[in-house]
Amino acid sequence: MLAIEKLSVQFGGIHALRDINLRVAAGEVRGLIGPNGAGKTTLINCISGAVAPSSGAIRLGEVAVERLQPHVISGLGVSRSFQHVQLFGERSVRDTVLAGMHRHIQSGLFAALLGLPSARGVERAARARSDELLEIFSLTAHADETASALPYGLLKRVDLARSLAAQPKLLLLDEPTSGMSEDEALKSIALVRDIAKKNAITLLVIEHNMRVMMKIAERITVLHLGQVIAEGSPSRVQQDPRAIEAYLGEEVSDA
Amino acid sequence: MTRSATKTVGFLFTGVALMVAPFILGAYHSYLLGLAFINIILALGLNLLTGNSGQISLCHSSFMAIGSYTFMLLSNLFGWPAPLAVVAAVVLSSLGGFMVGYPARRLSGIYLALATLAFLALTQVIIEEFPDLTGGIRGLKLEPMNWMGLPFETKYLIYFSLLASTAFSIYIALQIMDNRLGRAFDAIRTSPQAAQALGIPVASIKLTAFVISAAYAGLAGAMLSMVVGFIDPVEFGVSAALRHITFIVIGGMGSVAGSIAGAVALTGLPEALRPVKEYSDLVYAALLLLSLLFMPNGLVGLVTIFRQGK
Repeated sequence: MLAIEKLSVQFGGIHALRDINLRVAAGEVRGLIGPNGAGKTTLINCISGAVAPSSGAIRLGEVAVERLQPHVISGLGVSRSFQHVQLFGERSVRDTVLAGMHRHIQSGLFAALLGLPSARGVERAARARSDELLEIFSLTAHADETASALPYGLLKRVDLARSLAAQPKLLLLDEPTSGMSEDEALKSIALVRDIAKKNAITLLVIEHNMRVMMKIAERITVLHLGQVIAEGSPSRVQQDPRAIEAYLGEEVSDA
Repeated sequence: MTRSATKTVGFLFTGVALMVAPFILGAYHSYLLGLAFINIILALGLNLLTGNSGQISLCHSSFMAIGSYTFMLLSNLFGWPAPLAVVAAVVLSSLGGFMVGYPARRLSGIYLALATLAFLALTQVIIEEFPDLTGGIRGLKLEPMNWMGLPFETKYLIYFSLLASTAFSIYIALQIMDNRLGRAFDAIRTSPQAAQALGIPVASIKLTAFVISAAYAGLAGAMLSMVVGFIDPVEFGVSAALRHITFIVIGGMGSVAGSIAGAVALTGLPEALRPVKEYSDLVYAALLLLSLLFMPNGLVGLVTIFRQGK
């Protein structure tokens, strides 16, 4: 599904990523961990096209995407959530989710402008789909509220619903549960996993909460200073001395 | 009465009032009402571009000029039926919007402001350099229009064309706000990176916004030719462009109701200031400043505050 080869990103003199090799199989749930500044978000930004790599290759299936524009990559079936929630103006929760469906709402320009039945039909179908997602994430009661007025934990759920709205094949989640209570986090991530499994969506998840990570990830990749330092099943990674030293350390001894 | 019932009654009342207005109002007030309609159309388009898609334009008066001249020349020189000449005006101004919007895809903020200002300067030069066609700085006068033999007085034909154009413009703006375009406009304004990552093609949406917005300005321009019966190129200068921006800032950015409120308020304001004629410019400027300070979300924002207060 996703194959990354010798990927490097340089910002000025700083190597944000150095010779990253990563393969994620179709339908796999892959966790991505590492200390702050390890390059996790940069890696996701590269895959989604927001950051252009300095060198290396990123392939989605057979398509080389490392030089493509973000909306083209999105069109290939890649969607994402954001570490810091990105809202769209003063739009309602429903509109925020609908915005994530943009490329599926295919109505002609004139039909859309004039509000012709064909365009309205497409809008109605999209609205029905967005309402299903809102239902799944228990957001129905907030559908018509202005998104920006919601508390942070709810916003992260809106972000998750929106990332799924595009019906992706590969979903990149950047700290999807930060700001949620432990309960909420476990519940939300279970929902995402179920949807992913049901629809054969490949997941790449950055997550700091190791309990959440253990619940969802089938394999975990550990980044440190822009390099992959360990990879394997959750239990193996938890015992990997380099992963412990770089990141897990105290948290594991606490547990 | 519930709020929706109040709304319905309000709309009906406004509708009836606008239908009978030309038969009751004198020439001067009809003219003012016409200007208000034209400003509403212009403001709707500009607000979609600036308030929603987040692109500034200092050349909407140029798109308006394209509409004005296109309408008048087709009507005067070739005797095109007025409705057809209006359509042509809208098409040509959209083309102008494409010309500015295409390079503008890569510009934003102050750079976009300067690029649009350059287009405005270019338009002014063209108007002045082809006096045989445009009348140059002396302007152009509208000859009697071709109404295809419709058996009504011209002033009523003009008024109802304008009323229909305004209603149509509002309808389309409401459609846009409620469909994929409006959502995409708001998305690329507030978070272009997120929008793009979620599959919204930012560059082409920016261009679409420019073309639609210029079409609105072209319609307003054609209507201006019709209502005033004369083109004064000074009307399409920088000061007009700036006045257009005050419509949407005072009314409320990114809101259809805001466009209407701002255009109506600022068309009527000079009139309301007639008793203090000597100071009218001063009062106008003072009101603008005060409203910027105390109504950051425009007239529409006041309504929200009022409702929350209740």
